[in-house]
Order: sequence, then C-alpha cells, then structure tokens
Amino acid sequence: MIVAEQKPLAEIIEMVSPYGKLLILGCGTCVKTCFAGGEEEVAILASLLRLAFKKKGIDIEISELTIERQCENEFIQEASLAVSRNDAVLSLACGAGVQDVARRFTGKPVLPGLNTTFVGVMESRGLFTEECLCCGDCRLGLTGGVCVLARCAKKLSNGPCGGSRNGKCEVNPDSDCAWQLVIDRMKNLGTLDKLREYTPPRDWRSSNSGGPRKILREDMVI
Amino acid sequence: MIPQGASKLEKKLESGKFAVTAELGPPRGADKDAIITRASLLKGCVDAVNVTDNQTAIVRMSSIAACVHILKTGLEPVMQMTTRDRNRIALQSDLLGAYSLGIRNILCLSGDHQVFGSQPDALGVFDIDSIQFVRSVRDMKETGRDMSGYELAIAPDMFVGAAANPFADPFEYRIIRLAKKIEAGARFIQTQCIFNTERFREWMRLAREEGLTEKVFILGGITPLKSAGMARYMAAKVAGMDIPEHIIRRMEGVPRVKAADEGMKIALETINELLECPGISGIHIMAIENEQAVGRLVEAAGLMPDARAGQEGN
Amino acid sequence: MPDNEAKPGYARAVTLFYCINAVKSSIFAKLEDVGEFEINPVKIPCSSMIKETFILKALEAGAEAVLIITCPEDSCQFIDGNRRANKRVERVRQMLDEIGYGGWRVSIHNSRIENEDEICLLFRQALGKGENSFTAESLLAGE
Repeated sequence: MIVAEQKPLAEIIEMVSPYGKLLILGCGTCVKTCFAGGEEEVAILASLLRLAFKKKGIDIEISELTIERQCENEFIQEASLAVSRNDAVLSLACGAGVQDVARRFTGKPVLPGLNTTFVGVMESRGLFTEECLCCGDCRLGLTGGVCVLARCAKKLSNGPCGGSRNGKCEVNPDSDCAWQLVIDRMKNLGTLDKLREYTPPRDWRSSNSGGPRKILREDMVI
Repeated sequence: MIPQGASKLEKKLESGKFAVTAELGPPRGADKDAIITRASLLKGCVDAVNVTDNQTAIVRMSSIAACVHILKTGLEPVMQMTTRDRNRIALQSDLLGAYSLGIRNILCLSGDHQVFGSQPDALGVFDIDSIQFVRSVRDMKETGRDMSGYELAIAPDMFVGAAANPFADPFEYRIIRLAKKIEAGARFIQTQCIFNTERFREWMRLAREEGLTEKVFILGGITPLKSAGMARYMAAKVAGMDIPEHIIRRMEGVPRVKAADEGMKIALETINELLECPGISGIHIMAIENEQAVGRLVEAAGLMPDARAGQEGN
Repeated sequence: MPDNEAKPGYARAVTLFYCINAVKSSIFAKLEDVGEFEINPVKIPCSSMIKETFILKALEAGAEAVLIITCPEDSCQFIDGNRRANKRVERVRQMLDEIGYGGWRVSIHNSRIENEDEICLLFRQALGKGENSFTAESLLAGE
C-alpha cells in the first residue's frame, strides 16, 4: 500500500486557517489501511480542528466526507456537491489522490493533510516499512525477494558495504541491512553462489529519474 | 612537474616489493598550504598517499584538487572516489580529468552515507556502486571506451583498487565480495584497520584458499591508537570496526601520557605480523591528523624506502 | 472551554465512559454531583469500544473533562480491551496537548468500582485539587 502519515496538527491548523468552510476529504483505500486518512481519522481530525479553532476564537465550519479512493474520477465525482459547498478541501489522501482531486476541482484550494512517505507493507501490527522504490524494472527474483534499491540505504547492487553490523544498517541501527536479508534468504534457497555474478549498473530511465511516467493501456480505451 | 607514465605504486607492487601507503584528508576550506604541509610530513616515508573524497560525508576540498597539490610536492597520490556524491557522468568525467592531471591511482568506494556528515539534508546519488565503478575504470583502460561505448581520444590507464573490510558482517560472505571486486578489475585492495589479528589471519587464509592472493595486491590497514578513549570510541561507534577487549585493556592499562606510545607498539606488532603473512603485499597506514606518527611507525618497522630497497614482498 | 461562563448554580460538565464490567450502572442512580461538577455517565459494553472520536465529541459538546473507567490490566474480560483503551486515551491526550486544548482533561482509570464511596473517591482524585490534578491544571489554564 501507499503509506502516509498525518502532518503535525500545528501545520494543518496554519494551512486551513484562511478558510471559513473546510471540507475534510478522507480516502478509504491505502491511507485507511495505514490509519492515516480513513473515515475514522477524518472524524478525529475534524473534532480536533473544531476544538482548536474554538479555543482561538475563530469561526470555522468543518464538514467531513470519505470516498472509496481519491485516485479515480468515479469516486471523486461523488464529492462534487460537498466540495462546491466549501471554501477549501483538506484531503487526507496520498499525494496522488490530493492531485487528482485538485485537477477535478480547479476552482478550490486542495490542501494535503498527510505526508505521503513510501510504498510499503504492514510488517506487523502498527509497523509499516518501505519496500518498493517504483524503479520500473523489477529484479526481485535475483535477490531472494528483497529489494536492494528501496531497502539498502546506498542502493548497492553488489552489496553489502562495510557498514553492515549484526544484520543492521550503519545508517539506521533500527533498520535491517538489506544485503544481510538477501544473503540469508538466498542461503536458505541454496542459491547464494548466484551472488558471485556481477550486477551491471542500473538503467534509471525506467524510474522517475527519467521523468514522470505514464502507462496507457490501449486495450482499455474504447 | 606533473609526471607522465605509469603508476609508481603499481610498479612497486608488481616488482614484488613491500609497499607502504598512507592517507590524507583534504582541508575543510580552500587552503592548499594545509595539505601541502601535511604531505611533506609523509614524503620519503611512503610509496603513495590516499586522498579521501569528502570522507564521512563532510564537505572538504575535492579529492582531485588535493591530489594535484600533492603531486606538486613530488608525492604520488591515490585518488579516492565515492559513488555517494556523483553519478556515472560526473565520475567518468573526473576520471578523465584526473588522468590528464597526472593522477594514476584510483580507489573506488561506495562512501559513508550522507546522514553521517555535514550535510545530512543532501540527496545521496548512489547511481552506481563501488564494484560497478571498479569495472568501468577497468573497462575504460582495456577497451579505450567510456561507459556509453564511446571511443575516447586518450583513455585513462588507471591503477584501480578497492577497499575491503574483513571485520564487517556477514563474515562468510566477505570472501565472495572480495572475489567479486577482483573479478570486476580491482588490482589492489586496502583493508580496514586491523586490530583483531586472529580474525584477519582467518580472512587471509580464506582469501588464499580461493586463490585471490595470486590475483590482487593486498595492503593491510594500520591505525596507531592515540588513547584508550579513541580505542573505546572506535570499537563502539564505528561500523565495521573490530577492536578486541585485550587491545582496549592494554590501552587502558598504561598512564595517559604513555597511551600514544602503547598504541604505536600495538601497531608495530601488527605490522610485524603482516610482514610474515603470506599474501600481504604491503600496509596502508590510516593516521588522519596524526601524520607525524606515520614516519615514526614506518621507521620503527624498518620500512623506510632505503631500508626496503632490497626487500622482497611476500 | 464551554460557551457558558461560570455562573452561580452552573455545574461544570464531565463525561464519564465506563465499561460495564468495571462499574455497576446502579451506582449512578444514587450518585450526587461531585462539588461543582455534573457527571454524565455513558456505559460501554467493552472498554475496547472507547474511541478517540467519543472522547473528542464529548469535549466538543461542552464537557470540560472526560473520565474513562476500565477493568485493571490483565483482567479484561475481552483480553485486550483495556490495553487498547489506554493507548487511545494516551493518543488523544497527546493530540489535545498539541492543539493547546489540554490533554490533562482526559484521564483513564483501570480499577473496578464496587460502590458509591469508591466512585466518589475516584472523582475527587480525578477532579480534585491535588498536584497535577484536573482542577490545578484548569486553574493554570485560566478557566
């Protein structure tokens, strides 16, 4: 899923204070799963903002709406009426969702309530970890199912570096050394010797480095 | 003033003689005299001196510039290049520039992560890794072409090396990685500083078993400890550093004023072990900000260039 | 702060969420208001059902404080209920502090209540004048 976390409340308060009528728009897909922007989080944020502005003596009317997701017009258009009734939208979707809402309602300021962080998984309850860099050229089969671009701090293709200690990364002792994971995994699979092979430099054109990407499925266009 | 021709370090190692290299960190500023002064302390003691590349990710005078200043003193530099700050375009460009300026030795590293340095807010590049970089330096020399396949007017003929850490995890994989570096084209290896001689000997044994010592020149890393505090700090805080308890206790067991001497003693003992170790072609002394110690150490070990004139490497 | 200024005869509203396994509802039939506070008890079938939104909505509706009573640690009938409640209360307190609204308004008490005396003691402790108490903090906050 796309993992995000809510911006600090002080930042949100400052961002929305120019507006008299605010719509908090939640998203029921990725950000709901990482407890950052679903219906529940919208309700909590709405209450907090009302209490905060009441304390400041500022009048603000806050509405709440959560749609299935904010990256498809089919769902975004359900918010049309609510958006039209408000001065601004605080979107609790990931960066992509915020932008898709902004492109559909160009007359309203659409503000981000979250910081979108990474593509990842829920490794255990409450613990979300980054797993994928969206490089566009997946080689997971060569490294035992561990991504060395996303999970190695130096993106080493022929790792590990000299800073691997007790299976942890020198950059962040809480992080596992991705290459230790690769080695353990491939040892388990009996394919450790494959790591003797040289991995040549990446072609980064398939990644965002080559510019923003687009996929057009002609077969889907009627 | 700028020498042409092959690397003197390469010539020395090829001839079977024991080589001594040291390390210099360029200044945090544009003061070229700082580096010239420190280089002059090393002249006459070492065969070549490594010039670090924004070591620990702290902004310093560039390695290529510092190498040129050092060349002018008559000392031979080994230019360190990390893949942290530059993409393949800049790295190749610097290689061409370095060669044109008379630099003949390159050490390819991934580099310390930017989070440790003076600009943790910077973007880390890591376009290619150190092994890919070794390979491209080798290919440039052997094919006369750059990484895009373009035929170069003059292709750099660099003596290329890599670093190895016998003390990092995972231990059993370290030899595979060493083999990979050699296969990619590394001609010489400088190791992390050695305190755990037992573990080092084991690593050398595995290297010999794989036939790697036949294919590459290995220079063992030496750092003279200056104090017990330094020993404890390095043991605890520097990743990939292995300082056994008994060494720390030795440093703690002498009065503070004698600590530096004890550190030199330990370094000498390690050098003597390395002199006896088959497959070792030299030593690499890392005594940053302690260049005076290098000369004393080299002399005490009987490794001053004139003393080494007739000496065979192992 | 509630909209009403403190007027003679006006009681300060406090909402109490209690798990029915921790407190017998019959207690509230005989309960008198605690000093200047009017207690509004809300029963919950399991303490895990205490949600951040309940607490915040109670404050929005004018409660000056929110108290939560659950069973003690390790004796929750539904195993984790009280632990979840503790975590959520902690989160709400943090968020209220962040907006300057006073996380001290919300408190959770993990103890079973058997009779009126015990609950009165709890109210006095929670809302009384002791150090770091609700009353001390609210006076500091100028209310």
